[in-house]
Amino acid sequence: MIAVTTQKTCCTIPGGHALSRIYLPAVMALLITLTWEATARELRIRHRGNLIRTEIRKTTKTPFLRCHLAMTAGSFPQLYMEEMERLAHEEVPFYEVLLEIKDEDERDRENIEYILQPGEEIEGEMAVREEERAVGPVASAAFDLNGTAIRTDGKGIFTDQNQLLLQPFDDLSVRETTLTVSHERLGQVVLTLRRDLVLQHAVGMAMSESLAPVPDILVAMGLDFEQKRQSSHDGLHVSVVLPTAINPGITFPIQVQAENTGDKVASSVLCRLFSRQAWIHSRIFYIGALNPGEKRTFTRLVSVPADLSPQRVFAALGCWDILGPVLDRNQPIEFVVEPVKQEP
Amino acid sequence: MYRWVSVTLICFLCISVPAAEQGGGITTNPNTVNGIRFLALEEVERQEKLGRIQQGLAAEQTAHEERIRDFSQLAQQMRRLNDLPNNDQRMLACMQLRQKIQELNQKLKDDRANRLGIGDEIRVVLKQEGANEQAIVYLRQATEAIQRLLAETANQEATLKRQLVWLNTYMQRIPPPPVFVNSAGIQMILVSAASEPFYVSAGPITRAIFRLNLEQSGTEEEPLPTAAMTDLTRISAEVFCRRLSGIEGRTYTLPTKTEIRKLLEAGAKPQVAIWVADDWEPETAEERRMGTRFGVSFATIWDPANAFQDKSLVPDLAFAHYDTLGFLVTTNVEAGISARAKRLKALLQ
Repeated sequence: MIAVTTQKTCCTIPGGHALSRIYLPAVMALLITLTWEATARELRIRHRGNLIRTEIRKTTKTPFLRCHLAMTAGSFPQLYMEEMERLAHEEVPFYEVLLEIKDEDERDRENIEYILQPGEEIEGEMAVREEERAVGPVASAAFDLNGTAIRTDGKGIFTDQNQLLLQPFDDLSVRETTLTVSHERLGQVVLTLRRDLVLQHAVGMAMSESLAPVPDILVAMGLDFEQKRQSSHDGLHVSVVLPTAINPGITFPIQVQAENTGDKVASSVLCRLFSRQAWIHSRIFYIGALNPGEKRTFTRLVSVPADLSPQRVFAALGCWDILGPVLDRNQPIEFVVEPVKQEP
Repeated sequence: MYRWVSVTLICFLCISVPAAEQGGGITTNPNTVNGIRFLALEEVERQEKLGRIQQGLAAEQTAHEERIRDFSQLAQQMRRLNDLPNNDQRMLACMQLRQKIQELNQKLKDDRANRLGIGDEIRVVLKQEGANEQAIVYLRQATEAIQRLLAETANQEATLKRQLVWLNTYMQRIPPPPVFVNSAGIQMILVSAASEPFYVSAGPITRAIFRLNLEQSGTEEEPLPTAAMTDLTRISAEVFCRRLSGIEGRTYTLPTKTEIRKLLEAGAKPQVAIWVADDWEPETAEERRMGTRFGVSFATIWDPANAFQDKSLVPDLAFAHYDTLGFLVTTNVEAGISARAKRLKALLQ
């Protein structure tokens, strides 16, 4: 092809057949030489300068669930369900153009020149950037908590009325448990809860912080289990309150009321039920620190098996504080499971 | 009268030697007054003493022969112990034998005292001056005889001691009675006679016995005397045991787990559940830790009729009380042996 073109070019020179035969190769050679000389003298290379802008080409939104303990006061832990969004941005960066000018064989950096090319830009490689953001509470929604159906209120709070969250910790050797919370649309989240009986307390946490993630269930319930240096259980009084009628198949509350009438703080007060009946045995009542004159109540719910025959039930409430067992505060408990009265 | 007259005459007729002439000051001879010896009086006394020695020696010879017969009878009775038809009779015979041994021992002590007394008398007479040769010869022979008798007594005492040891061993080997009724009226049955035997009440303690021993006033309707005392806490059952121990002078307790196992092996099956003396051993280390931490322990209930669970042993709190929960009492084997001894002693008297 080149050869043909060259031939055509030769033929277009008017009236100069001989001349063209003699000088044309020389001129061509000269031109090539001159061009070569000029190119060898100076190089111009485009480089990426500073990032000018980022262009989001595509954004993918993935909703997901976030769940954590909410601060509460009382015997029923709460979980806060929050809808979150994970944004995946496909971004392209644009950079300014920086021209590098130097001789071909220039090695000295002092002699290399950089010139910004205004109005010009270089497109960078596309990358994916992720971010998470809170959408809001998952209000009045149904969830599955470790296989049990639960529901949040209008503020996205699930109040554990059945004390499902407390049950794993009734074994004092268990310090950590895992919850799996599932939502139909937002998917599943695994939450790790801790129960530390020597944790620094978080009582009096501001309301603005009350929805911040708290992994410790005692802290979340506003209980103070910090070990006090000078404590006493001399003024500790413990009593148990039971309902009057207990029938098979019902769930009833057992309330432990603790009061400190002494002049020193009672530290890390803890009570536990002991009984031959497995359905009442090993329930733990968390009282924590009781300052002089302070009272605290902790309630546990107990479900009587539906097939339990009417009978007497005996249990003992064992009391413990940081100084050891408080033997003379242990409470005998006796009640009768009566048959359900038939309506006439 | 005649005797004193002759003594007085002899005194006057006697040649007295002033003590001062013999270089003596105060004399120790009772028959010497102001240095004058009454030789006739001394002779009379010597004769009397010799007579007493002679009589005593003869009596001791007789006693010795009697002891030989006693020992022979004792040995014969001991040999016949195994021929007796039952343990009660054997024990009774042993008790009789022990009584005999004690009596015999006392006799031997008396013999020894008598013989030592005769020996002392012989020595006193021998020390006195003026005894004739014949008397001295007799006294020396009497000394040898007394020493021989004393040696015999020592042998007999040693033999008796051995026999007492043998008898005690024999009595210890007599098996305890299979059944006895204590003073509270509780029939106690021997369990596990082969190894580590103990007695257990023939059945759960009845309301009648419980009330009798605790002096309780009946607030409810009068129960049947044979009905088991149920619906009581382990604490109440333990109080009963302590009072019963005080009355009987022997330790009565609730049965232990080991004893329950032996009762099971023996085929015992009370109709009510039974309180056990031992606390419940938690099944897991964590439960054990919890019990220690909170100071709460479980008692053990033996539930052979499965009134509570399918298991034979179940835990419950010591203050629990159920209509189907009663108690047995146990005591050691010495209580049975002691009760039998008491009964047989009454027969002896």
